[in-house]
Amino acid sequence: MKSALRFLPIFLLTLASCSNPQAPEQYADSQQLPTLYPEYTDVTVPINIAPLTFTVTDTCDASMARLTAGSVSRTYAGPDICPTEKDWKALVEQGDIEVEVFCQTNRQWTRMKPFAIHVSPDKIDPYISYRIIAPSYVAYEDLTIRQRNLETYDEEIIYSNMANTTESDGQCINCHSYQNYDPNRLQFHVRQYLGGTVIAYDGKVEKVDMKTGATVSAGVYPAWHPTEKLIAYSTNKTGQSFHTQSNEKVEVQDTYSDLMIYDVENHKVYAEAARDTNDLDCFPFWSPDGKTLYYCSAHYEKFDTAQATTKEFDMIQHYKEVRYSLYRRSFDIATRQLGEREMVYDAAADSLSATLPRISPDGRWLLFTLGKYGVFHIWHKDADLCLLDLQSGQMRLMDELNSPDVDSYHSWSSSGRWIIFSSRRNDGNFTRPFIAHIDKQGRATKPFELPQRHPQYHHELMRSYNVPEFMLGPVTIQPNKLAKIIRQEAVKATP
Amino acid sequence: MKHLRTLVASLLVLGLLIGLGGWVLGSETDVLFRAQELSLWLPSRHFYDTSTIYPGGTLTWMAAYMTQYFYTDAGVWLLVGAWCLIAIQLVHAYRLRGTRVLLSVLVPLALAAIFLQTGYWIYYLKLQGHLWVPTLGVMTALLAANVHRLLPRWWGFAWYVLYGVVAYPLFGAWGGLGLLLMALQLDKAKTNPKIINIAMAPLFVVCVSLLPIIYCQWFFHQVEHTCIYKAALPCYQLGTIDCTQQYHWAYYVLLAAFVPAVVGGYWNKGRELLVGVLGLLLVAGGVLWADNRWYRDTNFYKEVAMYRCIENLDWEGVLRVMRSHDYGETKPPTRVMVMEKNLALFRLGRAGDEMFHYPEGAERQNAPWEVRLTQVGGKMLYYHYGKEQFCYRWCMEDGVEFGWTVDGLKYMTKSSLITHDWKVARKYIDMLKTTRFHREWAKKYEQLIGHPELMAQDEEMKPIIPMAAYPDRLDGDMTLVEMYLLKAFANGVGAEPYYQEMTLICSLIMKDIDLFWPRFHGYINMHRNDKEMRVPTHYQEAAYLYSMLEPQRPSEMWPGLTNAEAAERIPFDEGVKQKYKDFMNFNTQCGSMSEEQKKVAFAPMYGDTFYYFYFLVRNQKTN
Repeated sequence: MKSALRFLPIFLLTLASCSNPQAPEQYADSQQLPTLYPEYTDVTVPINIAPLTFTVTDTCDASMARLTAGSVSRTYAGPDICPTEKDWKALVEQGDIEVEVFCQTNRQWTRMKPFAIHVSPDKIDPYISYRIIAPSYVAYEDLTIRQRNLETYDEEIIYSNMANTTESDGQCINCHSYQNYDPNRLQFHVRQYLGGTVIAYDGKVEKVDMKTGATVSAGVYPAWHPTEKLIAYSTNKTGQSFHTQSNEKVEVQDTYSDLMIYDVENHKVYAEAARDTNDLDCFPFWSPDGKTLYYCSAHYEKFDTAQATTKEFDMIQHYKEVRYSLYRRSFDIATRQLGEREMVYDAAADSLSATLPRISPDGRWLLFTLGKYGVFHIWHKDADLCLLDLQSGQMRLMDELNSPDVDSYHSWSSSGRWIIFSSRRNDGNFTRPFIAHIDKQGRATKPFELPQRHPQYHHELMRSYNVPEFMLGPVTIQPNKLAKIIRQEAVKATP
Repeated sequence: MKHLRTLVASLLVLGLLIGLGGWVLGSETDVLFRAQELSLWLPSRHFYDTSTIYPGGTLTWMAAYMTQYFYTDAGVWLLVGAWCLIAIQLVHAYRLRGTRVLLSVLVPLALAAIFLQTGYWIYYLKLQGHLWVPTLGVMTALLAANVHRLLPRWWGFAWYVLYGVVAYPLFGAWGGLGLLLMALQLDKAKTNPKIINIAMAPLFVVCVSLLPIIYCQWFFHQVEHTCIYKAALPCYQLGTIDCTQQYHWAYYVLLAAFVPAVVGGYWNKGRELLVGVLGLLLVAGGVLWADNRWYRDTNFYKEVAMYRCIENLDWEGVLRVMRSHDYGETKPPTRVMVMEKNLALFRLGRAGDEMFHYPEGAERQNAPWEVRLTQVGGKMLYYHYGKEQFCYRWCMEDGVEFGWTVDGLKYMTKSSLITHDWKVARKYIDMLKTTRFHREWAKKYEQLIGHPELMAQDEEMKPIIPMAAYPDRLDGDMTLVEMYLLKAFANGVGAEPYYQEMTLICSLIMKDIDLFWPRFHGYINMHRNDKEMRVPTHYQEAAYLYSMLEPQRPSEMWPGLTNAEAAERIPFDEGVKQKYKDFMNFNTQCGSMSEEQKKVAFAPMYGDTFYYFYFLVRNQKTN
């Protein structure tokens, strides 16, 4: 009912902007592709995706678009082209869609160069979840972890920090994660007020305090073990500072970080006592068989050893010298022990920094982010997605996915045929989720931006999408239940 | 006769409200203009959706829409029109006749009190459209009451139920006021079947106490459980500083203002005098209370007026306001005023001659919490001093915390243009192009996207671009805008004369002798080919004072010269030297005075010198 109330005043506007007219019969042909927002020319979409809506941004007195697939054809008046879900379903069932955009200037219609929206029979997981957050640096207000049905436009809140935020006590939430795409097995962190880690496992929901004396922090970046009730975390001591000139705005650095494993069943933290505090381990991720833990790590020793500067200050002065490489460690499920580390890709030797290793469900591909330095690539314009074939050892930048701007946080669909990643390519400041098909040979198609009911939605949205993750279905725990659990005392983890 | 009394009373109410409007227009124009800059309304579905994630979102959405009209004087008259409508609705809803019509003015007056008490909250209140919310809240509540009056018995009851169900999501807590006003239509109750009257009370309780909980459990997931009943009401709390009691009095007055109108219609004849006296007492009490409670002062008005001048690049206007005594009592200036004055002088090229001609001060803003420079002018100062990423950052931080504003979008646009972040500038420009009053502004700046050569000719950006030419580094301001700017410039090195002069000014303000000399030396060298160059008075004063304090320093600037020869290189005016001698002599005469006494004694003769600033202006606490 709330939705109905909210949408009522603008319902007519929406109708007016998305009607179903006749395409012009007489027109001149142009060899130029139309300019669209979002840019959907020649993208590949899964057969079960929600309709792709877009705005014709060419300077036209009037515009329209005709979408044709097989025997089905639909025409929409522009500039906002909004196929209905029914129309879209009829179109995608026919296969690839040809899109003709018509632009009228001085009462003359021009047909822009037609393009295709390729339809892949490979279905995509029906849900994704993400955090919606304004790209601020210190201040925050309302943060939400949301889930989106990819087959429709329906979006729901999993949890909002405002449910437990007062003027005097703010709450940050982050790092939602699922075991094997299962929405019934999730975790996310609550920081500051009523802090802890919320873990739901097959109906049991609890808040855990993972901070023990053995680690520099509570668990931060999580990775669910694929089969066991275990979550690997990095523990991080993080700081940030601001660029005075660069449009990359902010630099986030870990001065200390390490790995730990948390036993969900027994509330037990496994952390190694002996560690080199100059090794900064981060972003763990399990191999599909759960026998290997991949992660990235940088070795950083203070440059300025003579002076009594802090490590934080020293790192700020030399932030471009902090470079991460990819490693892995075997894992003994019985003893919960990690083996010796093994280099997977020595990015630092190439004067590069590799982060966020994510293994494809078939175990063959390792997708990671490659930038010139640092760990927080989500603010680095040189950050690109890179694919490593774990069978052949071949590695390549995924030029078909990357843009001149930030391309970072990524995750595989459960089938391994789709990836979703964050990119700031639209405006350099706000991350948007992009989805691309990836075949068995590791070749990706041109990515498409997460479709929205109204095509200008992302252009106006003053928030970023954070940590997009696929799910096999929706999280069914009600937000108010999560809010209630967060208000309760946390279960204390033991070392 | 009764009609005549009604007419006269109506005209009196109208006249009073129009007079109030005129007064608001005369005294609050700059504040209201600023308030609309600190608000935002976009004609899009997304904006509506964003507004309505909280209960009462439709009301705040409407209020934000109305707020944009404060861009012109029409905004005040629209508000006065709304108050008149409220008075008319009250008359109708409670059948006020004769002199009792006068009672209808009390609610608009209470609304005016809420409106006028805002003060520095215009920077901090998170409630969208907060200046209009109470007025629209009362209007919707009274509208509901009037519909209720018009509908016969069961239809009226059906309306009561329907309104009770939908009011909370649409109007938040103001929905409860509507239900209350319907329930208090006592004459209507007389004609209702008894069962309706019996049912209304429990329904009221359900709609006001239970339904909000249900809504927040299942639909509004972003409401903290203790805030459920405060939906669409402003929250006068900043962090741990809770000012609720100081500001909510006006809301209690608003509720009280309904009482005479609600019961006035049923009083016996002959009580008009009593009613009138009661009403006047209420108004007088409200005014007296308000006079003691409002956090508005000279500096508040001056700050918003100076800010507006800067927006218009009216640098002389900034100085005029700084000097002006037209704003009532004279207080020492706040830091933001001092910084805005310095910016204006810098832009006019007169900082070196006049920056100490104005009163110094670090007066705390008249608010129950510590107002931060980042909110009241820091972003603008960062922008004009070429610290574009910090301007952008604080626009973003404040947008996130206090809500997106036209002001924030404009500064994010301008700072993005200067840093050549074209795509994001386009985003904000596209948003501003959809607004009613800022589209021309957006179109103007749209022309600059991708055109640094046009920016270099732009009157506003031309002096900023050289200020923004320095190498990138990682840094942080710790929310102290003034200290950051002073340190960044005083320690900065720039080849641009404009930038270089700023380094000299900041070293002067910091009273840092070590930083001053190389910057002063740089200034002399940069301008040595300018035959008409005259070293501004304050720079001379500083150089002369410092060369007296540490005679060896000039020769360090000109290696190979003796102290005397080096001092000769500095073209000191005779007046500068003489004033220094006079200052020192006077200081000897006043030897037994305390520093505070000296401040007063020296001010008439030496208050406009660097000597006075150096010796007698201390501990200017920045915010």
